[in-house]
Amino acid sequence: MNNNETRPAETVKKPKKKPEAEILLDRQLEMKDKTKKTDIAILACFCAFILFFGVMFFIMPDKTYSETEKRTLKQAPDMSFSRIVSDLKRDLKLMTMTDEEKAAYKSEDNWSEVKAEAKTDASYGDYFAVFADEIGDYYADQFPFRDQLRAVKAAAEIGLLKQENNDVLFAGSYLVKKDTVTGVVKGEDGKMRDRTTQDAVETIKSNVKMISGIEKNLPDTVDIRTAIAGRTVDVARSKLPAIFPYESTHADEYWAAYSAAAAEAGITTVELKDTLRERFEDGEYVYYKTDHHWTSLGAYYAYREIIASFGETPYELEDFDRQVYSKSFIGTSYAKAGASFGGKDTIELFRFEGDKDFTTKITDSSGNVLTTLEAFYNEDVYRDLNDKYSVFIGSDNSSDGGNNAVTLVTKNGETRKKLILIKDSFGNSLVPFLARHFDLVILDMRVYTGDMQEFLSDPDLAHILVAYNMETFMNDDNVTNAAARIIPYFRSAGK
Amino acid sequence: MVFSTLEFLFLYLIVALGFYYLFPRKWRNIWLLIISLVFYGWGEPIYLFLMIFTIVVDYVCGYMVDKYRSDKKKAKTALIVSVILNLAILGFFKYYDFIVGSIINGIFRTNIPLLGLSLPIGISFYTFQALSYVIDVYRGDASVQKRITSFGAYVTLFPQLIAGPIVRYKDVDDALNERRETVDLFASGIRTFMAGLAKKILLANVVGELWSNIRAVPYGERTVLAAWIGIIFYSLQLYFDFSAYSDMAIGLGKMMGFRFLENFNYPYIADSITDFWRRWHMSLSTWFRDNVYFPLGGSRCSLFKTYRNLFIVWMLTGIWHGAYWNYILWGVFYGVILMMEKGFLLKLLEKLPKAIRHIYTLLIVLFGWLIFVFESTSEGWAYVKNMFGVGAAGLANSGDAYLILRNLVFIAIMIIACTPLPKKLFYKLYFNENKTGKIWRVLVPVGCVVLLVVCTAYMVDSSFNPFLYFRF
Repeated sequence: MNNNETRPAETVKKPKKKPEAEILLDRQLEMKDKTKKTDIAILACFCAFILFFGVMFFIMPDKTYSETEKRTLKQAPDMSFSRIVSDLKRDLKLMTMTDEEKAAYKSEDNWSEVKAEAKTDASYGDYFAVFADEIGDYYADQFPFRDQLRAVKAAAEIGLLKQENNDVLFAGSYLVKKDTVTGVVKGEDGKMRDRTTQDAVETIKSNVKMISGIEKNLPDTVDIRTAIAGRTVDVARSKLPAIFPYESTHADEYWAAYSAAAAEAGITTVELKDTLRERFEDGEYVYYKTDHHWTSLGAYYAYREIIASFGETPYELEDFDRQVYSKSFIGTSYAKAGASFGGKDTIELFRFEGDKDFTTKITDSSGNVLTTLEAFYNEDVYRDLNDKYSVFIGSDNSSDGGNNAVTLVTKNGETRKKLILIKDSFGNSLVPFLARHFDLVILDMRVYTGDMQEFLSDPDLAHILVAYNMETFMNDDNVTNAAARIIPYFRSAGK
Repeated sequence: MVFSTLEFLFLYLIVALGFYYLFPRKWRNIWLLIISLVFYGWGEPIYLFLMIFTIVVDYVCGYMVDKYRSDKKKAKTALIVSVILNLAILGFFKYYDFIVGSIINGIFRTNIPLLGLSLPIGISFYTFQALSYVIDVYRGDASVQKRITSFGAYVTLFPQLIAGPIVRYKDVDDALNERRETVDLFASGIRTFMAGLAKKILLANVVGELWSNIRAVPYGERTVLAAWIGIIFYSLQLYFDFSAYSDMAIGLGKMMGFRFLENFNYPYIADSITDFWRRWHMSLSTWFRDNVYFPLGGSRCSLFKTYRNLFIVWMLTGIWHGAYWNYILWGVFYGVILMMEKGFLLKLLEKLPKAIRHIYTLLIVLFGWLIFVFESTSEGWAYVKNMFGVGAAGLANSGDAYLILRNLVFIAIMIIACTPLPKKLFYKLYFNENKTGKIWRVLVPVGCVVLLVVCTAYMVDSSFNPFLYFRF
């Protein structure tokens, strides 16, 4: 290469200068005696640091679940002989496959999408690559003082004025998830890609279309309506950092798509977003600061709108006895952000006289009863856990994250009109309010795979309510599952 | 394995360094070889056989070259065998699919199947290192290494195994046989390593994530400003990522008594492309200069030949980076610019103010990275069009403003980190005879721990840890 040549003919005519690195090294060596103590100190600090964490990693017991992060943590990889054999067999099988077959095989194999994507190119030895990945994940998840270290990172990001950490905005005392499009889809090129704003808009439209499809097939005695709640970003808009452009969340696009599709299909909707935003701006505590859900108070205001849309009169706030369930609730937004300015949240339970006469029965998809509750709250199981939102009809079966397939709420010794609530976790905290008016069949279509005939054939069935939060509504097409079971039923039953 | 992971820092390094210092001197090279093979085999043990094959071949060739020193012909044969075998392995694993898929099948309309082999990590780096040994011995620049374990340790030395710097054998010849590990060298190694770790974790990964977000924006939704910011972010990521790796390698080397040459010298302050290439990935430039450019005659021949030599070297530099057309184009792009600078541009530039020379250099480099980053021409072309407003979503939007504003402090830190300023300042304060120095020498160990805590925090709470020069 010409540039490093040092032949006389080509040397630039400049006085010969000692390279900077050498000057600095010289200075280092001259000072050798003076820096000796510091050198020892640096050496000691570095070694002590890596040894401390290195040893602590082995001493501290592995945790299975992170309460602050609300997720199960990676465990030490299985290093058994049988696993090596089975994995090697799998790798041999993979070697003979085309890329498409591989991708399909891997997604069946419950590999995460990302891993399936990353490893599609490798034609051998996936075992070791995955194994090394697993060790890396294991180290990160079980690392000593993980929570504290995550807080250090959050503090550093805040200190650098970044306004957010892990895509969660620091909005005053609130933590706000910035963009809530999740999931992957198969792209035009056949590869999996992240869903975009446009995909989310399409999902909203198709969900509305499905609901309208249900409506067209319902008998006259039953109606259906949607009540879509805003996300924290929609409601706590006034608190967002000054430099944060609200339009970058594309919220207006989602809501516009929703309204337009609903108007076109002619389905009944209950407006919740602006109602709760106004409440929020009046300083009411309608959304949690560290969690993406609405508070019990927020759910109450939503309930008012929903009941009013049925033409009935809602109970007033004074008709409830508000009890503090927890003052130390730390939610999902905190789980990502790792720090907050707003402290912990308070969970209230809305009780009323006679609520002990209600029974809540939580079952799985096959109808097995998981939990039976007096009234609506599952207080005992979750009091000590950090996932305290599960107090709202959460089951004892924590593996499903408190999202239960079917929950039935009845009033003892009374048969009332029935409402089917197709919901995500936002719907859980609506239950105590709606139960004062109807017997409830609460379905989580993300979990429930069973038959719906039993509920649909009930002569008392009066309403179907789709109560989602916009985040679920734009990411999740499980309304389709509901439609796929409801429409054929009514078609065959005849209107 | 990669340095910037928890399992490296808190498991591997403890074991590697711990036993290194527990063992007596004569065992240390053997230990280095063993632990380096573990490092290499981590996650991809099958190519260990390839690595061991390379070691044996070059050890034997080096031995033969030395043995038949008086018999030029035989020595040369051994050298040629080594060169051919090394290049054949490199060529097969790195370029087979490219040559067959993009060239042979394209020209002859054949349908020879591709192998789809994954690239052995760091093969381009260690092959060049192994080659340099035989060449150095042949030229008499270094003495033969009798111990195969020591030679193996040189080829596999984990600090620079997978991403350089490409250490020439003659530079570590003595250290390999006899080196003195000292406290001040170790401490200096820690400082260098920490600088690299911080650069990688706190700068490269963070800016890299910003770039990958911009890159992922679908065609038609990216603004002109975002496209420009994106490629600037990528330039920063690439520099921090790669130079951080070199820093960490040099630091780890010092911890074990090796002194590797610097690989980067603040390339983004260069004021011409010629200057830039004296500062960027210097070990590769030096290797090509010593082993290709000079043997071809360098510039001590006719004008035509000089330019021909330049062209060959830059073509090879491009190809070295990867088996895709964009790397070849990138190499040729620089070859042409350097020829122009050699011919007339440099003289012209000297007359211009420094700021303009600097902007000129950065723009060229930016366009270089634009060619470099996109292996798919269609994606690259769409991106370039975005930069000039075609298919872009306007000039700028509020999202861009937010991106810049919220990263203002971070961007300022990155710009400063591209200059020699922090290092100069550190030396001025740290190696200071008077009181300032004393205070600083107390603060530095504390700062070291703080930096370690912050780096660990970012490692713990991050899923984004790519490594750019992994594939070369």
